[in-house]
Amino acid sequence: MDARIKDFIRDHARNLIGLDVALFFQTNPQTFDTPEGLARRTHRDVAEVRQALDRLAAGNILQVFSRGEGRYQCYALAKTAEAWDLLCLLSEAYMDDLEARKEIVRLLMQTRTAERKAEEHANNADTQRIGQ
Amino acid sequence: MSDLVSTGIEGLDVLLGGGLRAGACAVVEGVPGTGKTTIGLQFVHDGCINGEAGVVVTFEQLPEQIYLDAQNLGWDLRALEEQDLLRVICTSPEVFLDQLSDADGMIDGLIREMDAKRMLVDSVSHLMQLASTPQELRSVVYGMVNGLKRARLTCMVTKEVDETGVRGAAFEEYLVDTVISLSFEMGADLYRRRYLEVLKSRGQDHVHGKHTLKLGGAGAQVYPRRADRPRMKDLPTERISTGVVGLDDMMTSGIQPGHTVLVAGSAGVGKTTLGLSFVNAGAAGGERAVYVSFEEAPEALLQLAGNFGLQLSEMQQAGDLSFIHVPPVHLRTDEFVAQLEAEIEKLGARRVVVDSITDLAMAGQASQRLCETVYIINAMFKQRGVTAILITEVPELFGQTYVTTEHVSIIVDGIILMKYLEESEIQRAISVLKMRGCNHDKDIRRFTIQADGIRVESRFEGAEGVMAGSARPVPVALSVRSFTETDEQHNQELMTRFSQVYPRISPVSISLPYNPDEARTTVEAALRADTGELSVAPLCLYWMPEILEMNRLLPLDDLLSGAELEQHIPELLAAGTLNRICAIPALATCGVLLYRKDLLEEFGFDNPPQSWAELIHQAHTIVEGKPDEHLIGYQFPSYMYEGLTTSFLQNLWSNGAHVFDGEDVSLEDEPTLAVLTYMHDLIYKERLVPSNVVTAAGGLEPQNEFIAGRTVFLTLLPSVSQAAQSLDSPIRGKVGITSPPMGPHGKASVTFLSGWLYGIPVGARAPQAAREFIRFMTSPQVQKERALRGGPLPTIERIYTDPEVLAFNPDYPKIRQMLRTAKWRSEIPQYPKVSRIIQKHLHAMLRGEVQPPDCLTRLKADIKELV
Repeated sequence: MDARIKDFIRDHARNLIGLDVALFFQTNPQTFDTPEGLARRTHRDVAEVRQALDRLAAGNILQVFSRGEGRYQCYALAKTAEAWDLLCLLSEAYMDDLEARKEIVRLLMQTRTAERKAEEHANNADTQRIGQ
Repeated sequence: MSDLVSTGIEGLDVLLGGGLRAGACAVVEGVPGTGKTTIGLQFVHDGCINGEAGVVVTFEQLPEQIYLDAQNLGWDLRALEEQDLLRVICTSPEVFLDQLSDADGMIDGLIREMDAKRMLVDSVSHLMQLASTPQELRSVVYGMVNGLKRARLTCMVTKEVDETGVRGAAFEEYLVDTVISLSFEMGADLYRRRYLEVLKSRGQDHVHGKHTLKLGGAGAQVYPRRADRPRMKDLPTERISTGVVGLDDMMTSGIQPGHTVLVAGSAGVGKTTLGLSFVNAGAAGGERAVYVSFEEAPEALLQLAGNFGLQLSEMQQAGDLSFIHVPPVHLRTDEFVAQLEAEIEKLGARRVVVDSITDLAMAGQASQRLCETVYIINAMFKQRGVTAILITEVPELFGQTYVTTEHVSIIVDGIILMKYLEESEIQRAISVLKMRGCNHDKDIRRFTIQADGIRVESRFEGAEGVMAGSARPVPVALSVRSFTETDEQHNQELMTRFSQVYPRISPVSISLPYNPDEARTTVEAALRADTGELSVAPLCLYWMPEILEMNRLLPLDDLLSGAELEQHIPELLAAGTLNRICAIPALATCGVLLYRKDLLEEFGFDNPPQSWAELIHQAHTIVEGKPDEHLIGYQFPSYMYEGLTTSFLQNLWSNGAHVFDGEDVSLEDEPTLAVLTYMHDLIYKERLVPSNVVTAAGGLEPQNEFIAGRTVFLTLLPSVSQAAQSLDSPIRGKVGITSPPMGPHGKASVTFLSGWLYGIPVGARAPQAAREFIRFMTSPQVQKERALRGGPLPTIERIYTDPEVLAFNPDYPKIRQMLRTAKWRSEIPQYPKVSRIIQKHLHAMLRGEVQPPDCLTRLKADIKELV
């Protein structure tokens, strides 16, 4: 599997919601919508979708637009060849290559596990601080 | 930019008068599944492929689904996006509205960037979630419409309506320029059908009403209901053959080009066969055809046509015939009309068969629109110069029926009804109930389906109630020629017998004047009048040239076989023939000298007179030798009628003279003058003929005087002899027959040939009955029977040698010899006029007003002037 995909999974998608949102923009590249709108379309929790959108925006996959005099934000696919190529690579691997798909899922799970451990570690640290 | 923007749907453009106005905003509303998004996408796609960029905004449906749906319709939206001709924007309603209003917004920017001209917003219903009150919603929609207008886009905005189909005047409709409503309707066949209606079209006219909408492989198609007025194209006047033997003749040689004819009939009666024959008949003239079949598949129709030897397979292979085969359950009326018109256009068809409009009526709710549909296709046929047959089924096999219940009969140009009827066996009947622009046959005719197709045959004459399914016998007027009372009685007996053989026919004899000139006037009037009153016309031999020239007799070539025809005296048969046999000889006659055998024997004359001199001598001897002061020496037809001419001609020919020599007037002076003098002197010098015989009214009837026993010699017809054989005749068994006597210049006795033939007037009400009657009355059996009953002379030569007949009348061989040498007076050029000249001058002479030399001078002068 292409290293760029592994990097993307590990650094930007991070979880299944991140993957879903990324794939959504690949199949619907002209989407221009709010986190709420995108949460409805992907049928996911708004907060989680917003986090995923922000991660993708941070990775220059999406562009974020502040609209309505700052009342809301809209996300759209970044108009760069790199972003589009990466999403197409991701889609191809995930949709058409079973082994790659398994690896992507495994990576997501590892990332998720690492995140949980990190969260638990952080939580334990907090508890210890509270206990002290 | 054009003022009108095509919707990409030809039929919808037609309804809108060319398309949407540029910059207009149209709402496309309908319940789910009616095709709103498809129509909107087709509108944007059409712009793209014509170089006008477009934007699709979807609030609910995912673009990837739209791409997929479009792909199924053959539209590659992704490719258009790659060409920067299209964007399928997936967003939320509030974002869309906000961005539309924001000068730096994404939507506005995109429109400017792409120079987009068309937009689809799918759907406006989602804006409702942005407003809590109708006032707010109106404001939202108003803002959107204005935003789209500001962007100078031509837009379609879809809108959902609820399943109930109940729609109020929603405020969107006030704000937008055009409202297009889509709906489903459930047909009687339980199939839903889509309809499209333009409810509003601001600033442009549009076609009202619901029109068929079809979603298929090429997207949406709209079939506008047409309302063309029938306008006949300029067409050749030559009528179109139906290809059915005998049917064209019922309609003055076929159907008028551009006419639409309804063929109504019971199931299985032969309607489709007629339709196939109609198509086949066009092949000879290179006329292409479209056959519409809702039931039978083309293969089955080709096989059926092949069974009748119709060349439809060849036509199809040559590209001269195409089939439209739409099962009735799939039929959409407006779509069908469009399809039919396209096929006619493609093929250049001149003939169309629609089999059947009964199926059209079954197409969903089309039964309510059948009349309209027939009106539309009739108008279309006329504009395209197409001659058409529309087949319709009548439900009743027998009995009275409605041709159509939907008043289609008013629209079509002609109606042909085909029915079964019940006689001793099931028969098929056909009639032309209506045919604009021609004096069509009003008869009900029998038809059969034979190996070569339908054959229209004889009329169902002699029957009433045929179209009600059951024939009842009716009287049929026939006229038979009777010469004597005995003969008349015999004819009545024969007619009764005929009725027993043909119970459907009840012949009624019409009496004609005995005087053949007067009878001729009556018969000619009947022939000209075409009233059908006279079904069998008796025709005297000497009328025949002029009667045949009238061309008012039906051909009888196939009535008798060749062997049967050869039995008749050839001259009589020839007299009824002009290219075709139009009259059959029924009885023969010729001029003869009748004499009293008893008186001649009493006065020692062994033989009847052979010459005029002998006749005068014998007559004088007997009259002067008998004490009876009323006894007349000699009589001949001498008042002014045809008989006078025949008397003159007989004497003229028997004196070696002629009226014509070729085409020149002959009437040789010496022999002709001798004839005139002879006839004159018989009255005024010899006084053997009473002078009062020259006046018919009140005068002596030579025939009656002879039969009464008061005349020695009579020149007339053999029938007098037969009449004298009646039981109550005082001269029964006392009459002899011989050739008329010769004049001094004559070398042989020459008599005139006469007789009667039977023909059928063209307009006869009962030609089939008439044929049967003529066959019966001219048959050898009837002729022999008449001969044995003392009736008129047979026209069949072998009866003259029949032992039974000879036993009854030993004069037959003599009469046969006379017939063989008899002359046919109609050979004289312009015979009727010549005869009238002869009658006029001879009658004047016999009245004593003119002497024979003057009579001759006048005769010659007038006849010369005539010719």
